[in-house]
Amino acid sequence: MSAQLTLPMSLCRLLLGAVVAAVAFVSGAVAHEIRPAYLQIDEMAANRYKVVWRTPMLSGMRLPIVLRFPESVRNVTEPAERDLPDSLVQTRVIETDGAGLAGKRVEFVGLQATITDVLVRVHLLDGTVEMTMIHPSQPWIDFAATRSPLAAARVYFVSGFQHILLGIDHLLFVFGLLFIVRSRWMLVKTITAFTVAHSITLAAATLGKVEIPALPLNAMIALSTLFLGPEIVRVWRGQTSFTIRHPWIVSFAFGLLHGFGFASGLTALGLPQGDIPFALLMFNLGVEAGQLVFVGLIVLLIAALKSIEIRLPRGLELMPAYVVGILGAYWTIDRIAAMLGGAA
Amino acid sequence: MPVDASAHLVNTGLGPIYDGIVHFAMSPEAILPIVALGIFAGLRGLNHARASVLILPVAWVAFGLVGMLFGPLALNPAIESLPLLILGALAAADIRMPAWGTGSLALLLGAFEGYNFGSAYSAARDGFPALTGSAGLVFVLIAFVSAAVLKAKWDWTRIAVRVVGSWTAASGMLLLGWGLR
Repeated sequence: MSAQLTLPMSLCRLLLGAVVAAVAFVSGAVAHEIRPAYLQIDEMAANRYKVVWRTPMLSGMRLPIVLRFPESVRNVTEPAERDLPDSLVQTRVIETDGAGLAGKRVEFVGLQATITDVLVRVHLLDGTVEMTMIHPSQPWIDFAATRSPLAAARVYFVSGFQHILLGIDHLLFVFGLLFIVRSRWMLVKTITAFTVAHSITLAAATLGKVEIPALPLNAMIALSTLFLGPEIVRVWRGQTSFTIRHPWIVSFAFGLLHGFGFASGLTALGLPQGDIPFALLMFNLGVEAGQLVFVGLIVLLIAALKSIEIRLPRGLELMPAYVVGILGAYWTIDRIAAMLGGAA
Repeated sequence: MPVDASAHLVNTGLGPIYDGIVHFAMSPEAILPIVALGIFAGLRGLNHARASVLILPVAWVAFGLVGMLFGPLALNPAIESLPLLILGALAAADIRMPAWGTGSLALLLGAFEGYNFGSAYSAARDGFPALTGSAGLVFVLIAFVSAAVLKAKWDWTRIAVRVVGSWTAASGMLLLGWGLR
């Protein structure tokens, strides 16, 4: 067998410096608007619909997306606008010709120039509820034949899956945990504890049993990531701590916080109470699937690098700690500043 | 009632890093030669796999930055078929070569594909994060493929991956024919 490859120390320092610089650069780059816009259409009577159109606000600016109905649709009431702290809500009643909305297209003008998705929920008089997600690559929705509940389940599942994969703060926390656990059994325990914990608070918050204000919550989630940076350094130094001995307890405790974060992702979709138990289940399954895919990829990557016998010098082994610590610190400061700014 | 909108391509709404990841994941003409290189390096052995995993992503980023600076080159599709053709043929034939030779191939592939990728972002503000995201996926892909082939102990698995190499070469041949027509 060939000897293991060790990189020279100077190259190591250069790489570590590059990683730190890239992380510092990237931390700003990832702070993009990812909340979806929301369109709700409720059938009030034959060919008459109540329309709620919510667009998120970014830095006090409304996203430039305009809702365009076909010409055969007319306003029964003029659009009434309401400013919320994080979004602008427009409400109106519309009326269509004999066929209702079936076969018609609603366009989201300007969506293609944004990085925002639109969640559309249509509630018909027969009780049918349809959900779909519109993306900038196809900024319109065609109202066609009815779809099965499976199709709606798919929308919630995909939303959960996307939420964890978009939520780089959640992923980074899980990433940090992977460098603290010392055995496969402990990895299973730790990830399970995180899953159980966030499922509890996701359910409690979505069902309205517990409520935590978004700004302090986001700051605490960032703090949980920052917390793991020094713990990874302790593992690297061969030291021990409560977190290193019992990572599953820490994972459970912080998992409770992250669950509130997931709940904000679900409730930000603007779901009505009647849909929540079903949405909750599918959304949570999506979150779990996304989390397992991420953990699986990292574990496989570590195994692949071991097979190739690329052994990093000890200095470079600290890279994950730097990535987790720097991003955690950046988000903590950023979110506390936002919290204090909001309070001022 | 509502029907699904199509999947995202370059604009995912996930931020520029994710855009880079998805852009690369949707580019089979860039993925296939990397898979072929991973197969070839894995078949040749440990030193070859290491050289590929270490050199390819670095070359990708370095030449991607050059591409962002100078913009796209007007290349004939015949030239773009060469990485597929050469690396696919090398993997299919399992040709003996020193490790520095495989490292040089990784450097050339990273330079060519990285430049192409980076040049697509020459007019964009968020080119560097996209390049970083794509390079991360390049690293993961070459590590997975070369490690998996390296671990393949049975003869039939080695034959199977060489068949994949021959398919890659055939794809390159088709692209070459289309480019020269």
